[in-house]
Amino acid sequence: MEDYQAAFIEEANDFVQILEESLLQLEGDRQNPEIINEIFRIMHSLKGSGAMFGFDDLSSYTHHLESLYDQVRRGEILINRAIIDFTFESVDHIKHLISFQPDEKYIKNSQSLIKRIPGLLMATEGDDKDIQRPIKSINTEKEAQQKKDQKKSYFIRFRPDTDILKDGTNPLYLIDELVAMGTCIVKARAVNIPDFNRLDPLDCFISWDFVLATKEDPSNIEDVFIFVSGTSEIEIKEIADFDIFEKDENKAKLMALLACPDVSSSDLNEFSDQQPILTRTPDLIAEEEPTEEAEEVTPEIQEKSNLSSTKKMRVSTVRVKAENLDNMINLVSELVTMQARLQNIAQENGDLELISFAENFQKLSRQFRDLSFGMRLVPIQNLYIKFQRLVHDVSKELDKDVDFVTEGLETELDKNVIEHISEPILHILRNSLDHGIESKETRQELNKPERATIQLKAHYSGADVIIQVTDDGAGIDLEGVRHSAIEKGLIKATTKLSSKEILDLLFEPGFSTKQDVSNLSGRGVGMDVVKRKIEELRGSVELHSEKEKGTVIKIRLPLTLSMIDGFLVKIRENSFIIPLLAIDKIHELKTGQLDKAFNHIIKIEDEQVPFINLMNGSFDGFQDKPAKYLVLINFENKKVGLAVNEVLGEYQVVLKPLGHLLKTKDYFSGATIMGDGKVALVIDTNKLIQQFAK
Amino acid sequence: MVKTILFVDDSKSIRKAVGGLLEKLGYNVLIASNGREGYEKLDGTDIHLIITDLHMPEMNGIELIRAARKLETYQFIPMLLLTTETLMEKKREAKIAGATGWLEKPFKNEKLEMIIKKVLR
Repeated sequence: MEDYQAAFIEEANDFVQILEESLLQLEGDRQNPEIINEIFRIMHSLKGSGAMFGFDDLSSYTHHLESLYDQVRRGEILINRAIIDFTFESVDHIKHLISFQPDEKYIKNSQSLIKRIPGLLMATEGDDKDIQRPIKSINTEKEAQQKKDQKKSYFIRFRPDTDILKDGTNPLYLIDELVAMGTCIVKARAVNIPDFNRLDPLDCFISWDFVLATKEDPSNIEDVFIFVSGTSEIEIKEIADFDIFEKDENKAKLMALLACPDVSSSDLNEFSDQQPILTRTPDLIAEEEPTEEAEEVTPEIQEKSNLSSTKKMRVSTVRVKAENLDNMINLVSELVTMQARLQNIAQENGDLELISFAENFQKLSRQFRDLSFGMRLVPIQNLYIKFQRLVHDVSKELDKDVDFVTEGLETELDKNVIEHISEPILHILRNSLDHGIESKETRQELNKPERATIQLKAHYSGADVIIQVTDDGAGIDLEGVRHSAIEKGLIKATTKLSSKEILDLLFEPGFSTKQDVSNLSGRGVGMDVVKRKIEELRGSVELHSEKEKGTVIKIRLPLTLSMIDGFLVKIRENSFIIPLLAIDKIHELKTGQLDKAFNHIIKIEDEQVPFINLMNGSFDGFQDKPAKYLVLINFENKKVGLAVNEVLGEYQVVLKPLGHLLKTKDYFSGATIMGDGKVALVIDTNKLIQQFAK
Repeated sequence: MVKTILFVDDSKSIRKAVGGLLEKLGYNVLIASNGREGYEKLDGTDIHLIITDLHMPEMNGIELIRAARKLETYQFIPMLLLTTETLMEKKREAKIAGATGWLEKPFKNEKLEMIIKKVLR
C-alpha cells in the first residue's frame, strides 16, 4: 500500500481544495443539501482512504467531522457560523495532517479541536468503539494462540433464509469454508420442500448440519456465516473438547446420527463424556423413520458394493440374435411415441397426479431406451484387427514401412453403423497405402521419415462420432485431379474451381472408371461409393489434403440410427426437432435484433455468432416472420445460431425415414410422430449449416 | 476462466490500490468512480462480483446494489459493500438492498482476498 501513498496525498489535496470551495459556497447557502453531502462525502473518503494508506491521525480526525456532517445531513443540527468556522479551522488542520508525518504538536491540536465538537452539537456521541476494537482483537488473538494446538469438535446447524440465493450468496462456498477448517461431515436436509407446482426455484429450502473438528477459534467459525448471520438460523455448539473423529467408529455413529431428521446438538453431547453408546443406533433409525435422506444414502452404498463384486466376477455375456435386438428397438420406439402421447394428454388434462405419472413414465422410458441402445453399441475397437491386418498385408506387398496408429477406438457406434462402416474405412486405408504413402526412396529424397504413419482416430462430437484417417503421404495432386476430370468430361477445361471444389470431384460418381483400378485401388477410385455408403448411414465425409504433407479424411456418423434426444422448436406453426446434443445454448432475441445484424452475424455474450434465420422465407418458401429465439449450435468448434419462432423443450425422437419427396432436402435427417399425432421434421444441423454457408 | 470484478469507489487512490491488488490476485477488473458509472458498466458484460464503496456522489453503493439486483443478468452475482461503519444498522440496510456481504475499511490485502474467496470461486 505504501506505493500508493503519494497518489493518496495528491488526491487528498484535491479534496481539501474542493472542501474549501464547498465551505465558501455553504456560507452563502447554508441549507443546500448538495453542498452538505459533498462535505460529508469528502470527510468520509479522507477517513476511509486515510486509514487504508496509513494516515491514521487524519482518519481519526476526519471521522469526527464525518459524524458531525452526518448529523447535519440528516437534519439533526443546522449549519451555523460556528460550525463553518470550525470546519475552516479543521481544513487547515487536515492540510497539516496530510503533508506532515504525525507529530506531538498536531496530535494535541487534533485533540483540542475534537474537544470543541460537543459544543457545536448536543447529540454527538463519543465514538471510542474504534479505539477499543484493535485492543480487543489482540486479546482474542492471544487467546486463540493458546488454544491453537488443541482441536475441538462442534455441532453446527445452518438453516439459510429461503431468500439467501437472491442476494448472491452461494451457501456451498460457506460449506467449503467450514470443511476446509478441519475434519468435517456434512448432512444436507431437504425437508419442507413445497409441492413442485408451488415451488419457487429461486428459494432455498435446503439446510445443513455439520460436525466439525477444528483447531480454529469458535469466533472464526462464526465468521464463516458473518454475512448471513442476520437472516439465517445458525447454531454453533461445542460438543467435545477433543477431536471427535480421532476414533474411526465415531465417524460412522455421527453419520448415522446426522441422518436422523430431528437430531439436535444435545443428541451429540454424549460424545463429550466419551460414552460409546448412542441413544439411537443406526439400525433403529432406519426402521423407525425411513426418511428420504436415509434412502439417499443406501443405494449409494449398495452401488459401491455391487461395483466391487463385479470387479471380482468374470463378466458374463449372453449372445442374442441381432434380429431380436432390432425388434426390441422397434418396440422401444413405439413405447416412446406412446409416452409422448400420454404426456400430451396429461398436459392438456392438467391433472397433477396424471402429469407426475406421465413424467415418471418418461423417465422410465428414457432409461429403457438408453439401455436398449446401449446393448446395440459396439466399440470401433472391434474392427481394429481387420484394419491392422489390411495395413500389414498391403504395406508388405507394396514394400512400404507403415506405422498404424490408433486413438479413441473405445468410441462406440450402433452395431448397424459399425457393420456398414468397415468397408468404406478399409477402402480409405487401401487408398492411403497405395497412393498416399510414397515409396521408401521417394520419402528419403523428400527428407521424410522412412516409416510412414497412418492414423485412425475416433471421437464423439455432439450427437455424432467422427472417424478420421490421416496419412503423412504425398497428398493429392490438385492439378492432376483437375486434368483427369477434364479428360473424363466432368468439368470443362475453362471451369475455374477452388481447391475444395477440386477435392470434391473425387467423390463424383464419374470420376473413377473401371480402367483405373490397379491391383488395389486408384486414388479417388471408388470414393463415390465410400461417400454413398456413409451417407446411407446419415453420415458425411470430407477430405483435406496438402501436397507432400498428407491427406485427412474425416467421416462424421450419427451415434444411433433410430432414436435421439431432440429439442422441439417451432418455425411458424410447424414443429421441428433439433438434436439436443448439437445444441449449446438458447438465446432469447430482442425484437428486431436480427434485422439490425450485418452479414448474418450477431453479437452474443461478446462473441460474434453467424446465424441462419429459419423464419426467413428462403427456408420454407413462406413469408418472413420475426424470430424470437436463437438456438446456438455447436458446429465444428464454432457456434452457429438458428433463429426460430418458439422453443418448446426436450423431446425423445423416434426417427422415421423421409419419403422421396423430401429426399432433396438433405438437411432433414428424418421425421418423427409427435404426441398429438402431428409430424415434426428432424433437422440435421451440420448439413443445414453447410448448405446455408454456401 | 478469469473472473471479472467491478470495483466502484470515488477515491482515486483506493481505486488504484484495490484495482491493482485485484489484478495481482488474477482477476479481470472493471473500475468505476461512482454508482452511476458503475451501473452503466452493467450492460450485459460478464461480471462475477461487484465491490462498491458506500458513500459516493451521484449514486451511492446501496443504491447501486439495489439497482443492479433488478437486472436479470446480475440478479444472482455476489455484491460486496465497502464501508467504514461498524454499525450493524448499515449492514442490515445493505443486506436488505441485496448486498451479499460487506467489508470494513480500512482493510488489509489478506482480508480482501479472504472475503472475495467467501463469495466467488
